Amino acid sequence: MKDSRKLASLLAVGVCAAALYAGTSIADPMPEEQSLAGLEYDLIGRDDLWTYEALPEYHQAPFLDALVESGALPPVEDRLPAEPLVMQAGAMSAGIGEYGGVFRHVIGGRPEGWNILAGQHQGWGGINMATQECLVRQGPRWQVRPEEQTGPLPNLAKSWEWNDEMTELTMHLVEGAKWSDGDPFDTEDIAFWYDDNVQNADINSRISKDAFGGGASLEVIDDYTFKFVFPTAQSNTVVEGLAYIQGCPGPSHVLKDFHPDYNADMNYDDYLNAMPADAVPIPVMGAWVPVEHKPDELVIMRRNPYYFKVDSDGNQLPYINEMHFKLTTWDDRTTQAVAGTGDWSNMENPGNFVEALKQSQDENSPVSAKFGPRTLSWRIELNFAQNMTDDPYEQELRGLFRELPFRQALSHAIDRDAVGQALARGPFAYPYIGGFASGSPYYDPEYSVYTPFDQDKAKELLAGLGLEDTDGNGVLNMPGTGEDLVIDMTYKPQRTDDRKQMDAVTSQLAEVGIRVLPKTVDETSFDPMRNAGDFSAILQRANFVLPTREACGNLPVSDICPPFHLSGPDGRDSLPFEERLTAITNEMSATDDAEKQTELANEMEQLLTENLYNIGLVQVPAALLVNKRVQNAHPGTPVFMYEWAEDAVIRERLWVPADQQMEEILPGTVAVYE
Amino acid sequence: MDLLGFLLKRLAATIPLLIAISIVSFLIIQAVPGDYVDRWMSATQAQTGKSYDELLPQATAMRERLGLDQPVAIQYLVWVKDIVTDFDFGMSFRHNRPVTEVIGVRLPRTLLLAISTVILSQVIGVLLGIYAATNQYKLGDNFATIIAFLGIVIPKFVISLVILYLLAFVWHSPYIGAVNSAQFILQDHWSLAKFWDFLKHVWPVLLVSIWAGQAYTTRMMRGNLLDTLNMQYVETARAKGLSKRKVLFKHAVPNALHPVVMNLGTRFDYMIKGEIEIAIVLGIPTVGPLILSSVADRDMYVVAAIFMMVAVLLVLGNLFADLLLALIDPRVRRATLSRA
Repeated sequence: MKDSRKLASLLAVGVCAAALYAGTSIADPMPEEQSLAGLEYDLIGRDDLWTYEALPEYHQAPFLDALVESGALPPVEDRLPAEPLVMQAGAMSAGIGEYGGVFRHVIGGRPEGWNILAGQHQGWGGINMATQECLVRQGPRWQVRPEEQTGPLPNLAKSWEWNDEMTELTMHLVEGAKWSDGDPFDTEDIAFWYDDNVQNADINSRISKDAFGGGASLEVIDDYTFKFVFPTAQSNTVVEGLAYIQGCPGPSHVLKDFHPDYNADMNYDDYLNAMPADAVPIPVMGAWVPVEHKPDELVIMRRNPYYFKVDSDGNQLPYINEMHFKLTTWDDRTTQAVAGTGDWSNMENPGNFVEALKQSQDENSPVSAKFGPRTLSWRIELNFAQNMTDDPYEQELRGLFRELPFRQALSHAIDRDAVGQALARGPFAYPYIGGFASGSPYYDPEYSVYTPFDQDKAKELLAGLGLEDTDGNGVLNMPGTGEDLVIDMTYKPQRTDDRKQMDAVTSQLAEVGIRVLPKTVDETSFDPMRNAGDFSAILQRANFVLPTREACGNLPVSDICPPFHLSGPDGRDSLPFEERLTAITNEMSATDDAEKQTELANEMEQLLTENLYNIGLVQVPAALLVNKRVQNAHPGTPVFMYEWAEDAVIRERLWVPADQQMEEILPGTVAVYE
Repeated sequence: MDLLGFLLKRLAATIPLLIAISIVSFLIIQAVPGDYVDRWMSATQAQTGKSYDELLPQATAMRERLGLDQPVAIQYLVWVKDIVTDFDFGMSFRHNRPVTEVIGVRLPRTLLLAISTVILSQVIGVLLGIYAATNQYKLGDNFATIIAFLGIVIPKFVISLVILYLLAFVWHSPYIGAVNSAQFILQDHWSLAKFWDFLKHVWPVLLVSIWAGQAYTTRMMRGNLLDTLNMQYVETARAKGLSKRKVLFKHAVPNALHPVVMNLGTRFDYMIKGEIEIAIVLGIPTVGPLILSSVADRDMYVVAAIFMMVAVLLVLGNLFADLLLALIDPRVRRATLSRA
């Protein structure tokens, strides 16, 4: 970090020099940030989270004893792998847990079916993650020290290595792990997943055939070892593509019977619906098995007695016996969490923050609001694709967007503190200047070039571009067409947070002579319109946290990325710094050296902010609402960073003290397969 | 022609109407830009990080599988054919289940709530109206008027929001966002305990929709009855020395009821629509919130089926009102039958 700070000061000097040269002061430091992320916590090493090792003895949830005695289940040591995944007690904020109880989720989604290999989802909101385990895992990386950020965390694949040319990736599965019906989990499942699903163009798998390492082929070596062979050299970052929801195998011993390649009586529609939502239980590798599904009302899951993870005392995970997913609406999720009838909600609407915080601070409140780092950010995207419009007005407008002083003027004209207060009163909002959200592990204020609120400066910059109000109507006229400077700004009116910011920005820009015409587009039409580059400017929430995860929405990495600067028929009319942004992204993907990645990210942050690739508005933290009886929900867990919070919080190690446990609806039972 | 003939003729006349409605509801959904697959693509992009181009072949295959690549006319004809031949209203894309099942799960409880709402709101409205008219300008009349006006002017979602706030944040009630507690949801049979649990969950829906539903009837009944009470035949009845109660219930009220009964025909669609905002705010899984989520998701066959259902209810409601009116009023009966 010290090195990076040195580099930062050097760069800052450079920026100042450049600014002086340009006659503008763009190197203001970012104002100090007030963190809302609850308790302080330490970042830890990868191995502090979990390891794979044999322990001297294992324990199970007490009610399973009777099932073992009756012969319904083998003893716990026979159900576990030889070397199970061991969650370290040191990384648990409330330590080793107690068995039993219920955890209640409320979600707005509905299960399509359980065939994850054919791309079916189970309704989101953490329900998929309760049943699916993937080769590697991303969510808990938020807790890992920067120098150990060497790629995803192991999971079903306990280790992997590359050959020297980086063309062969050999992976080793946990040996002896089993599906929840007792069937062994091995390379048969891997081969079925990859060869018969990912490689099959008739099946909509979650990982794309060609995109994964440019068309890798799979070689099975033995029951627990397999190899991807790539046509060209790769980097470790392709392994990230094997985390949720891409690299999560399904039960081949069930699905093969429905697959047209194995059963001539079946077609692809039969295969897609091989595991319909109502047909439970199904075999899973996840911590809980769905055992009841009442459409539109409830999914109940019971603990998986074959789950391959234990804590460092040898207690088989999960701690919680029963998981409920109440099927209502997404809005209801927060209401029920605050009311105490749901145990969990991701709170992403700043409009609710004050009330939720007030409620959760009340001593009698059943819920605690755990604010994470600031990872939600709003911004204005300006369309730079001047060569993709024939309209003279739009051409001149996009020409202005391409001028750095114009973007600086926009940025100076916006009072981000006022925008933030319009969004949520209190300390929630913090200025956002484009680039990484401040909660990103790659954000470093030293590299963020800030253009603070300064209307005089904005007017000066606009005048410098030949923009003046020639007809005296209060709106600047453009030098070319002579038209009023009016920017059509598209946003989603259903999003209250976006609407409030649009109101603030419209009046603030009017004060420097720019008229904003807010244009509403409903959510469904929004994405096709944005992807087609069919807009002048957009105001929206776009969370840029990791440079490689959201690359297309933010960086010029292909002809269709980013949507605010598409390539025309004759290629992209690139702005000077864009080619470097592309190169940085490629360099980042090609290395797994954490230090090098940080260095590149810093350069990226600098380029994005000094050139105002987007006009950032404000950023706020999201909060995790968790019922107070739930233990081990680590303070500071981000609602979204490497993955959504349901994965990041590591639900299999959550627990509830016995005296606060809720009564189970199906006590003493596990899934029974016919 | 007898009443049955009249009924059959009226029913036959509804067929072209229903065909027209089915075409319009199908076209309305198609008029909105984007379809279910567009929505699926943006969701999948967000979830997997796959690019638009990568998803395009899969989206095309999906459109083909769902028949969305066909011209609208063909889609419509296939839809109608399946309804007529198999009572198959198509698949819900979002739920990956037949539309009949998706609506079927919600319909019984929706109808239970709706029918109770319509009956109770009309009965309460009529009684309050009678009370207000017979106590004109007295305290009770003013009170009934205030209650009725509040029911008309305060939007239902506002009352629902207030109730939700109280339930969730003040009382920390465990009875929110469902029609039954989790332990009763698994019970397939109804028991007294399950019904009681049901009532604890749905009383706000009943309260708000009855309140909003009775208001108009109260005002109408009050006005009509006041008019009727001034009629000459009522005077005559009074002059004959009939008791006050007999005059009111035998002569005045039945005549004042006509417009209320006629209005009943338009109340049938209220059965589905009346609880939409309330159920959305309170998270109660009835047909109401399904309409909203299906429109948002472009789940077109669900939307079309619900449109049709509302239309059929409206048609049936008017028919029912006509019949009821004919039953209570011999003059209408004679006129209707001679016309028919």
